Amino acid sequence: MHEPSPTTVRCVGLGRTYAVRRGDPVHALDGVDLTLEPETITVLIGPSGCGKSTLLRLIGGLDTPTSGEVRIGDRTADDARQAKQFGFVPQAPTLLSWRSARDNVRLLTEVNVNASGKAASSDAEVDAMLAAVGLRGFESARPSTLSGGMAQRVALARAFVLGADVLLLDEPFAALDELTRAEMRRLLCELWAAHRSTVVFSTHDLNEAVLLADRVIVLSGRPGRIIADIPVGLTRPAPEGLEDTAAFGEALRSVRTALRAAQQQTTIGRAS
Amino acid sequence: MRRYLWLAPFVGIAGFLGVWELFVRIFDIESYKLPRPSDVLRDIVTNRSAYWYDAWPTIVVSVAGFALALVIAFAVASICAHSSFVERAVSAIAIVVLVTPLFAYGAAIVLWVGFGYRPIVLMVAIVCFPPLLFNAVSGLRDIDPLAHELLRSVHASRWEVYRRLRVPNAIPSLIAGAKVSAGLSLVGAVIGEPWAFLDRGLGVLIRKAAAAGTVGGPLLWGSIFVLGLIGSFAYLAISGIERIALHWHSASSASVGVSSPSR
Repeated sequence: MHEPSPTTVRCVGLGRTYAVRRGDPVHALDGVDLTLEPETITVLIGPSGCGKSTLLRLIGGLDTPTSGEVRIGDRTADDARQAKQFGFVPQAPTLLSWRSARDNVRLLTEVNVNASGKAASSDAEVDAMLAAVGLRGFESARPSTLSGGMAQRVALARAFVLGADVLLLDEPFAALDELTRAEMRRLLCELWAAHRSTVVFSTHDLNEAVLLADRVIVLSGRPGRIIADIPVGLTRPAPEGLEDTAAFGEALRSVRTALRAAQQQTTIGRAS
Repeated sequence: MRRYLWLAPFVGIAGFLGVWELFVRIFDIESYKLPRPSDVLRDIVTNRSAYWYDAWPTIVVSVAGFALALVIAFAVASICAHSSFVERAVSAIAIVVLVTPLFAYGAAIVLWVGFGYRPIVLMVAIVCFPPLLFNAVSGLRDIDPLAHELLRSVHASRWEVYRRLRVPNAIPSLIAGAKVSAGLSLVGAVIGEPWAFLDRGLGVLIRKAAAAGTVGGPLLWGSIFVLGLIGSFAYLAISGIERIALHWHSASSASVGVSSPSR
């Protein structure tokens, strides 16, 4: 595993409009200007339909903006994708049922080896990564035998083993129960501390946002716009009792206020 | 009770033959109308080399036609999975083939390809084609969109997506299609054989027995039983492959019950 070079993500005037068969086009995202410093965790939060997923997909070069552009260092998002600079963790674990945990972790390192110049991971690298997410002994397990939390651990391992510069996590823990989520947050912080990649994490969970973020970006929907940019940066992983401190309460309050405003704006946007 | 579940199909078939046997005996039905299954089975055992003489070419053309259809269907489906336009165009052809009775165009194929086994193999391949195609297309096309996106996030090529995602994803549905087509392959062979004026084959044997009228009864029923036996073996063989493949494939419970991506 080689160390990822710290990389800045820049969005300039980013917009994405979807054409609709009948009716007006949907402005999923409009005029987003955002610079993400290397080695930071940025959390995107907002009501559903506010364009969190769209923004993540645009940053990762999985979708093309209608206006503006994304830069990863001095590369375009598409070039960065070709160079395998992105690690992607989707909402569901999305493990291939016919592959073992080990082969699922290795999957993304096996493809696009020539153009990216990154070789497929060896068994030792993959097994070390599985051990890091607490799955030692489950290397040969099939996805159907894993619990939801274990499957999401495999998904995290699959993203981190790439040694990617930018990690994009799209509501990765949304389907897990609260205890498992807390465990996964701790795990994510540990992995991040070891790899120091630039992380963009979307969620609709206030606690999760405040506990993970160096910075919380609040989006409102229709069209998706940034309505608040709140620096947080609490101790990670969260020590016992952090949720009872004034700093946590302060951060939570300001994010909640912004989120309420976003919610209101989105509803109005929808009604008009 | 679960331990004896594997016995159920055998009990079912034995019971069916037993009721049939009793029915014929009690109502004293003449054997040229409906023979006793015991007599039919005895005839098959006694004349086994004669039946085998006719069964062998039928098996060969069925397997050859099925294999031909499988290869072509998978190749065509691979193109269809990448283009909705091609998929719709090819599906239209496959549906026309599916709804046109083979019996109707059997003679036309013989006129085109000539006599012998080649037209039969072609006819078998034609009837086997649609189920294999439809199932292969849906298996190759309906991949998990998140898995597809995941592969795209590292710039995987179409070939890499095909090899690592589409083909493994298509195995279960392809086997389901093969089960249907295995049965159809015998239908194709039996209907096709008389058209090609062959002198061997179970289709030919059935035609001869039917032409012989009242004395052809045992031969007719013997051929039917042998066909049923061959078809059952084919079905069992594919089920065996399915068990191995599905064990390897093992349905994922990890990705079940999670909502689709929101935009």
